[in-house]
Amino acid sequence: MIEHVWLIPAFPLAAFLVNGLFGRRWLGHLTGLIGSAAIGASAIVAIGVFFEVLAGHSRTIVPLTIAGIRYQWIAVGDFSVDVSALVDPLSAVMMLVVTVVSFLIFVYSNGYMAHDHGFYRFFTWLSLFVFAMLILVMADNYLLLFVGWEGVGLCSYLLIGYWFERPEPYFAAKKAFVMNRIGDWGYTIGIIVIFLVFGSLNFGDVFRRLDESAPEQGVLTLICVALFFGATGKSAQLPLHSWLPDAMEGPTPVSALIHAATMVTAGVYLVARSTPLFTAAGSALTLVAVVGTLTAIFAATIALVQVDIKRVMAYSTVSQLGYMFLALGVGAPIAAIFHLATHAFFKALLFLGSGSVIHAMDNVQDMRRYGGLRRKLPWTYWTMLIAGGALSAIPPLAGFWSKDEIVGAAFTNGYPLLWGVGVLTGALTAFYVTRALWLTFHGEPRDHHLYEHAHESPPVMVLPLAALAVGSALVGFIGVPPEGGFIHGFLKPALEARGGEVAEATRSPALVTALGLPATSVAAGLIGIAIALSMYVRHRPDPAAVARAAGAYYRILVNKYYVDELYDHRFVDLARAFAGAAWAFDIHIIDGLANRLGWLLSLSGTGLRRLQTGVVGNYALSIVAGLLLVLGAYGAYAAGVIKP
Amino acid sequence: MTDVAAVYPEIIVTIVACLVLVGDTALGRRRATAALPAITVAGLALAIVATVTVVPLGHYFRGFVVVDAFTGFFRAVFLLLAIFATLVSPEYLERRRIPAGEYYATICFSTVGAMTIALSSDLITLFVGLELMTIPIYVLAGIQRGDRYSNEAALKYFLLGAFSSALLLYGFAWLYGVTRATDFAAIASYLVANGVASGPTIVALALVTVGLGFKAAVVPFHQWTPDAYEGAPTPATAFMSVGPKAAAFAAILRVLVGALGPLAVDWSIVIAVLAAVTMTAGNVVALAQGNTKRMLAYSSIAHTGYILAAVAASRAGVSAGAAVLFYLFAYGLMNLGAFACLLYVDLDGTRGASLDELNGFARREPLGALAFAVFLVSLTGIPPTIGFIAKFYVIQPVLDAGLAWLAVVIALNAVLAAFYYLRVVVRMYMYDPEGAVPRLVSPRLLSTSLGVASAAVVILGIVPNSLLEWAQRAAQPLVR
Repeated sequence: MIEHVWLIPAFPLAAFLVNGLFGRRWLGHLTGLIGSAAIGASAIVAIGVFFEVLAGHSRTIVPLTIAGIRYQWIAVGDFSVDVSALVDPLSAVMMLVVTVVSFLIFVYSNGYMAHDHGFYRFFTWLSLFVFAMLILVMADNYLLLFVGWEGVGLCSYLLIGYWFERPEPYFAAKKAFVMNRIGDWGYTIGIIVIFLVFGSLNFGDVFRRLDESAPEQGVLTLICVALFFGATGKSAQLPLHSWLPDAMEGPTPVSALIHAATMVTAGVYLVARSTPLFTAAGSALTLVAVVGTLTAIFAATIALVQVDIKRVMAYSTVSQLGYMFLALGVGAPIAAIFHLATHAFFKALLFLGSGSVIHAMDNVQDMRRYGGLRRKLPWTYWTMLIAGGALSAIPPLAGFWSKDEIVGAAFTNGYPLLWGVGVLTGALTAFYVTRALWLTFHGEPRDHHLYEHAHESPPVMVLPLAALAVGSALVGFIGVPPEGGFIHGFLKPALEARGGEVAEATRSPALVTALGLPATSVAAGLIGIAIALSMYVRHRPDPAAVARAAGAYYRILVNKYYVDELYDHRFVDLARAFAGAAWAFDIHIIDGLANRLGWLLSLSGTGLRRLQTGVVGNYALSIVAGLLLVLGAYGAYAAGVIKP
Repeated sequence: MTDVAAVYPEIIVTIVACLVLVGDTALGRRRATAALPAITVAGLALAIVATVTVVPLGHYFRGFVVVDAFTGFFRAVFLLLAIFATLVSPEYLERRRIPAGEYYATICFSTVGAMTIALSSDLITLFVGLELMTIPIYVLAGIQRGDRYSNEAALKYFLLGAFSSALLLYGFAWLYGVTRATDFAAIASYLVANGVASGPTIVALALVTVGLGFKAAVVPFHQWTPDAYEGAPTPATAFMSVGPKAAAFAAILRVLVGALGPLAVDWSIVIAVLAAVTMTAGNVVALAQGNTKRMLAYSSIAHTGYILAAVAASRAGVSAGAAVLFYLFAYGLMNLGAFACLLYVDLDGTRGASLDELNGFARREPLGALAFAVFLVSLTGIPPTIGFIAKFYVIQPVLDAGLAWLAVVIALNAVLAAFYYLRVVVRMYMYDPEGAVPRLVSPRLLSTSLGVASAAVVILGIVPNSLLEWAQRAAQPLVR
């Protein structure tokens, strides 16, 4: 199966081509079926590959061959880049998560997008997205990874702006694209320096040469900080986080797939993939941990007060990604990938569930107009409850095992402060999830008109919800017992094969800590839930009163710490002024010169044209003149008058 | 008998030409229109099959003919181009009432001549092949007897062609006088034995350069090109611009690199200068053209310059020869395709299309416009098309041969050329049709062959390896 690994991205690519070329005129709603079937086929191959990796093919490189010829993408001098897939436990897990979650979301989208007039366009871009995402996780070098990286960025842009007739999606798409580009700048610097230092972009070569040559600490730190800056753009970490909440203007399945389960985890994957580099540059790891933790609590506090259900989920995603970076930073990359996998399930489910609610409520996203929906939407309610429990880290749901491991690793690896913030964030998380679920499903309907018309979604949407709910409940068990579960044994060769620091860092803790740490985080989660219930069920204290009491701080949260305003007034204005100057330079100097030159050339063209008299005699004369010139040149050359 | 077997492909093409002529009178007008192109294509395809099999490599006809990898490559290229030219023609011939039998037969005869050049290992064979290739082209240019532009094109081409043939033959005579041989290998070994260029050798070299340069449309021997290309019927122009040019370069490689290779130190710098002048003049004048057909004529002069640059770099070894062959293949595909795209708009009374006529072409004929855009992008040399790869492979040996300035000239010219090629694309896609919009013809055979050719342009631009390897094998016999 591994030798056929290229089939995995080939199916979505084929679906993209078929849907894109024939979707509009001929296929119509068949595009949904084609896309789903293609991703389903990819998922089957990915499962096969996964089991083969499980059976012991721990690291295989599969070059892309077309008709028996190995495809080489770039070969200039001694620099060459192959299009090759790296199949190891890490990429096998990623391929599995991407294809399975994508498949469920594709199925769901058939129902969710059924009445949209751009149906074919949606499935075209979504198929292209899955293709790019698979290239990203399969690449065996930094450059090919960058191809996938940019590909998913493009698809994200196209899908956020999917409803481009309205201005908000269009602006949100632009914002996402620009902020991602800022991050990409960091990534580009990173790969350039990697090439300069190691002479290769291939993961295997880079990590081997890292061992052999032991480059300077400063250079390594530069590489890692640059790569991490790229990761903050793609994975919406501080300071490049603010595009993700706006990205919710896209259709909800897009939010679930791209902006929760897969694309935004690309930064986590990149850092995990580069573990040897980051481990060698220790200080960069600390930066990763601190940024991750700050983002986690920062976003969680904003999520406390949002009223748009999708925005709550968006900030929650930013916060959970922060946890993953925290894990990477404290030297627990396995926990990061584990949380990535569980989060893909429960966050995709929360988004799809929100989509189901929005679908039922006539596209209203304001939770203040929801209420009491559990009777109308029982399936959505129960599945979202499971996902919410998983997000709040309630045992034994998936989120508990993975998040607890992250927070625990922060403590045992010597970052008690980060551990404290992590636990606090856990309480905040439990609070905002409970609040969102309560406002949506419990209490009295607050908008009776909408409530009357609400109805449960069709089976094509409910079944994926159920499947994801099973995943959200059970996926966590691949990480049980902590530090010694299936996932740890599986990923160890890929992420900790180099032994050394990482393996040492995860010391096995004493029994007291082993029991005390999870107990603390569970207690924090329960406290968060209890406060939320007390506030929203019994109005003790009343949420409105709390908001009034908090005053200025509440307003700061509602306005998301004024980050957008800060960026608008500081950076965007500055960038606009700079762009204006560059434009003027371009128009007047560059274009001016080019135009002047072009004018000169076309003038000489017109002049030379006159030589074309149309008279045969003149032509013959020019041949003779040419002959004499050539003869003269040869003669002068042979006589030594001209030297070459 | 093996002598005859060595030239089976040429014999097949000759028989096809005769069959077409007989069939034209025997079948009657209606059946002939469908049958003649079919016979031609089938016969040429059979000839391609015949190039693969037959005799072992080596010399035949007492050393007048050579069959090697070089011959094989050019035979295949000439036959493929003839097939392509045949496939795009029928509807136009029908429309313009051009005698189809004579047209296809002429293409076949010209192809036989071109193949003979590829076969030649002797000045005499080469000259016979050259004339056999060129004379049918004079006929082809003037095949539209009632049209005065067509007549003008044929007459001009013929007069100047005869003039240049005389110069070339005169050069051959000098060469024979100096070396007492007409065989390429014998000429080369005489030059090696007797060292540096003497006066008579230089005269011979100059005459040969000019004679062959004329056939390939090298500036300043190019002036017949725009007039002949513009006046000839468009499908004939499409064929003229690629088949004879490839044949001219086959001759240049055989004579300059093969027989006169020992003098390469003398001619390479002159050829390099001619290459630079040719590409620059071709591109600069193309900028000023308002007629697409004439613009493409000048563009084909510019491409002569690029190919000639690879010839000038021949001291870089096999890679230079391979670059010439690869470029010729790429050029044949994209240039024939680009001219053939004009057939959509080339109606009664127009000689090619003015730029204005192409406004909004993409909306009126989306697939044709897409194919045209692909060919133009490839002519510009933008990836992922074969035109980019071809330029890349030319620049590499030019640098290896120490002609860095020439590589810079090539790059600058590519920028210059982008302007007039992409201008057409812009007009096709971004302008609205204005004024009296000419009715389009939408022939199915033409669209299909253009679709296949433009797909090939892209595919070979992505996976050029096997074609490049073939070109390298074919260039091997040129290196001693």
